[in-house]
Amino acid sequence: MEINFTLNGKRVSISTEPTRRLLDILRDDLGLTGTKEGCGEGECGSCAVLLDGRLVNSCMVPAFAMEDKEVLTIEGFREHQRFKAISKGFEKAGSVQCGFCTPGFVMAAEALLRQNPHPTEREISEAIEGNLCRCTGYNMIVEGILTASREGDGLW
Amino acid sequence: MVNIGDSVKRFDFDDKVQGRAVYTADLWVEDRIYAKIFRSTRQRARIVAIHLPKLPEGYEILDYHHIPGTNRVPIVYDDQPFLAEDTVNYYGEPILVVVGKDRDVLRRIMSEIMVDYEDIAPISSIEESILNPQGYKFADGSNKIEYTFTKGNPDIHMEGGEKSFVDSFNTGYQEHAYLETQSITCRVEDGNIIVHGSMQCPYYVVEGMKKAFDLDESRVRVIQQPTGGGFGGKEDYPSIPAVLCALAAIRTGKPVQLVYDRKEDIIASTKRHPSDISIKSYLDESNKITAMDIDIKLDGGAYAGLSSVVLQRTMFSSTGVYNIENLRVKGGAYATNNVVSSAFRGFGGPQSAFAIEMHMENIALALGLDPLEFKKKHFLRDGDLSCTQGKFLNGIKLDEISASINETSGYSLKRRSSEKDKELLKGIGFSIFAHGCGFTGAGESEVLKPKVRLVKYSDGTLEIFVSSSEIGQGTQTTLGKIVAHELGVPLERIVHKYPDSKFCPDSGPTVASRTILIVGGMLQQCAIEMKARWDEEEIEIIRTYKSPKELSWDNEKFIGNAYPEYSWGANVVEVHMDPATYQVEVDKIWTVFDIGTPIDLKIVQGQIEGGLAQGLGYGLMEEFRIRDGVPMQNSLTTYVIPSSKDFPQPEIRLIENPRKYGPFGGSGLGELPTVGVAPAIASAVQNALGKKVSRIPVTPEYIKELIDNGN
Amino acid sequence: MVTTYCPETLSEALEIREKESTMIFAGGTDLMVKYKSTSGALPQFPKDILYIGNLQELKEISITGEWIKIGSMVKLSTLLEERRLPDYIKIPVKGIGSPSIRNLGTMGGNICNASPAGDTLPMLYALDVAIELSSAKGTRKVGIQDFIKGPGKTDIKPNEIMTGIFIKRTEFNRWGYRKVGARKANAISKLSVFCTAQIDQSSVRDIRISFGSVGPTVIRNREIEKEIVQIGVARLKQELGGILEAYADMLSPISDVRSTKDYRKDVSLNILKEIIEGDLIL
Repeated sequence: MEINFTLNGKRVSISTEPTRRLLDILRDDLGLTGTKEGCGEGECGSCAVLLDGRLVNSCMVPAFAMEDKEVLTIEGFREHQRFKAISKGFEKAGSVQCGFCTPGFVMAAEALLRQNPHPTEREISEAIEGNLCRCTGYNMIVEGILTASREGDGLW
Repeated sequence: MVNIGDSVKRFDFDDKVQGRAVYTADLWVEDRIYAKIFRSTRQRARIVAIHLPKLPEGYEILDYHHIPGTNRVPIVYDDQPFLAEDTVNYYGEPILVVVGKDRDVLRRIMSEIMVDYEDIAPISSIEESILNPQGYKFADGSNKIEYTFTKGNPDIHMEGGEKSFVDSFNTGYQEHAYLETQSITCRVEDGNIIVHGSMQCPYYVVEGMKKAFDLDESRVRVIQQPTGGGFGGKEDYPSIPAVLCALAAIRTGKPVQLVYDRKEDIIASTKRHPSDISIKSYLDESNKITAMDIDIKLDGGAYAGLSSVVLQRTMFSSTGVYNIENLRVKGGAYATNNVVSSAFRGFGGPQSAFAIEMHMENIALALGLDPLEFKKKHFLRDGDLSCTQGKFLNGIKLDEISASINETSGYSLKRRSSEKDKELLKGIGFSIFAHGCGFTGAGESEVLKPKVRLVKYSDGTLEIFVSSSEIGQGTQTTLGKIVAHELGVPLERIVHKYPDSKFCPDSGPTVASRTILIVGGMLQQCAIEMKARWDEEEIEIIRTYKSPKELSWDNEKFIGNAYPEYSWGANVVEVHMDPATYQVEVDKIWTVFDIGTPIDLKIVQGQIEGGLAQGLGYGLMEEFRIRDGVPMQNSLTTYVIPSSKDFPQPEIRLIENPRKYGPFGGSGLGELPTVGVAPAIASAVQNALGKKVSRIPVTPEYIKELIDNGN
Repeated sequence: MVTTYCPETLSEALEIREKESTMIFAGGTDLMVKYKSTSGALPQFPKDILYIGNLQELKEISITGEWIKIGSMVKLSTLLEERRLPDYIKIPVKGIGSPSIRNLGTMGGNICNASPAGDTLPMLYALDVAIELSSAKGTRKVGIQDFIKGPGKTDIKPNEIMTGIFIKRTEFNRWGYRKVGARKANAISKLSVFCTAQIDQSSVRDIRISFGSVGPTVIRNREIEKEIVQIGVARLKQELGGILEAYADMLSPISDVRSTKDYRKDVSLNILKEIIEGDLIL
């Protein structure tokens, strides 16, 4: 099956098995390894990307569902101004330890702030409820996103 | 004057936040082929025959016959095979390695492999092992590893005591659930094996390779990649996937990737030891404990591995922070046909802390005393000896810690008014605990003999060469800060890469809360020496560990300093319970820690908050149960770890108490926050319910049981 | 290797259903887990796949005087953003999974998966929803309680596609819902209780009560509901014990990896009591 979609702003055309997971297409076929596999069952959020601007777990998306969609991964997002604000927020708050869950949380933060540029702590906590972290206990990540939304005021 | 504790940007921050950090599964996307492990689907059985499917070209199936060296994992007890031989002894034990290019083909091959098993009656629990000690044994011929030690005159005091109180406690398995599963890649280059992997202890992997392939150290190179969490689960365990991956790489001559699926990781990788601990305390007329009799039983799983060391720490932590002058501690780690129990943050400490803290609280309640005051009466004080009759090198600040946490949380006041709160099902719990930092006994100087290397280059940069692994705990950064601060150079001049056995000496494993204390301490000594020779253009300093002269250890009788140093802490947790669902809601958490000088405050905060969350999961929601030999929880859906909404942010206070032998006065932290929080929450629930809580996790189902059954 | 069909129109899709033996793939959040393989390998689907994600006809929410129709491919997150829908429809949906699951998953998928723990089901049973099924030969509607036959089993025929969920617009001025999971977010349901009612000063005009995860399918009993209407507001509190006992006889939960049968039964009744006393009788 040939799939045509937009990846990080560029049009791509892939020839692949229709049931191949987007996660494997990104990591193995396109070498974009910033998106991680933590569980393969949509539970941990380490594989989260934006699909048409919405947060999804790429381990749940088969190639056949990708036609004409827009995908944003950490590799595409890290060039943005908004990424820099999130990164700064994470740096100040100490949101990163082992880092494996981090790209998924960054994408979740972006997805949230697009919809809600000034979220409360509770709203942040809800927006990241599908991302698991074993290192931080989450509060320093919430703090990081809160800081990003405050100091990146106007970006979203 | 910059304080070393002032936070800096972590060395590994940019790569990780940008998604550039190269974790093991991110390597060699173009060239690699894949290995998958075929595992036992029986708890215990003889392998009568294995029927292999016809293999397409380029695919291989390997078994234990292909291991040229010794088929035993070298880790304290060398009893576990890398690949099963004639029997399998736990569900999920590795039997074969299947290698090839296409993972769909590998999956199909795996599904076509047939094994004829002849079931053998298993031993599934500690109880079964006790009832039938011949049933299943470790390789040394015993059904358990056991130790006993005493202090003072336990027998005399146990006869004459006024009153006695006895409690029994039970803790369950815990799964590390690091977000990155076990991952190894391996290739052979010019006859040398090169391993890149997710690990805490590169040199343990080197040892595994040497043993399995009968190789000299010069032929093995192990490199740690950025690692997505360890928590003890990547201490000894990675030697197994590493050797199996290397086997595949050697046989095929290709670079091989071996990455565990989450299900496989949960089922087959090592777990925290379940425990049954009984404590009997004897009190005199003034309600002071004069003697304690402690019995510890751990479920070691199918192979002994690290169980002896975990058992020792459980025993050495069994009296908590209390000065018990007459003591008998008996411990056994039992052989069962369950998944192997091994290292997990706290390493026996959490099991003991739960037992001793709940026991002390129960005695207090029985006597109508405030638990904090009762515990305080028994605190270790300067000059007291530990349960193994060791001196404490640094001042003990338990009074300050307990006063501080009592002040911020209002614990004693709230306990007194909790009668009315019982209506509202509110409760408040308190725990106070310590954790020994460094290898047990004389392990640092006699077993590990750690080395560090510090190099100054002519361009003024400095490079740290140690085997300590950055697994999220900030080691790359904190060790860099220690060197930079001692030398008085900007942090930017420090290079500290992920350990590579080709360049880094063996500084010991990244475990036991030893990295800052021991490795950081040695690096500080290097820096001091380097400062004195600063005019030299290029300097290389290698240091080996020298144990402080005040420390001594008798490994036969378990007398002396069980650990080189200690860190201390206290937690108070406030909860309320939902009367309809019996769910526990954690309202507030207070913590006070004495970890010596903090080397980076943000990193310290991160370790405390994360360690606490892992301990709260252990205390409230994480269950891994084995039924009929098969794990019931095998995914992150069924093995439940805390989410972003479960716990509030804790309040943290640090006590100033610089350590004599810690770098800049620093002590260990990595495990401490996980060690003591389960009893704090269990005692809060106990307080809310008015019922004795004697096991963790304190699930809503267990709470309902307590309410229904009374006491 | 299975064949995947990705029709662009409903009639195309129905033709394929008529001719081929297929399984329907909507959001994929259940199927991609159920049939997952190892990392890098393809999911192991047992049948050819009919992907209905491109069918615009199934993505509409339409609200008329009498009915709310939710297309079977409406994403859960879309449903949550639909202002015209009442809270008592949204709250059970909000409790499903996580934002990323809700951005892919559909109500149609949740129904057809027919898990005893399906989060939308207690609410849908209580609201007497009708499931619309279309085939090349026409459409039919069937009540949800007849559509779901047991765990994982529905009445869908091999040539049918679920096209819509019909909810009758009813006046409810009281409602309560609680789902109990192992943690506060992203948890499979151990049990759930859903209740809506129309209550005025003195009478209970209408009441619906349903329980999830305490039987092979949702538990709902119209006889007891009629009884409650008879009992009325004034005597509701004193008759509560009898009502709970009546439900106790109907709940048949099991013990499994998530919870025990005693807990599920006890807590379901506790929650019902809490809802009646807290949300219904004000």
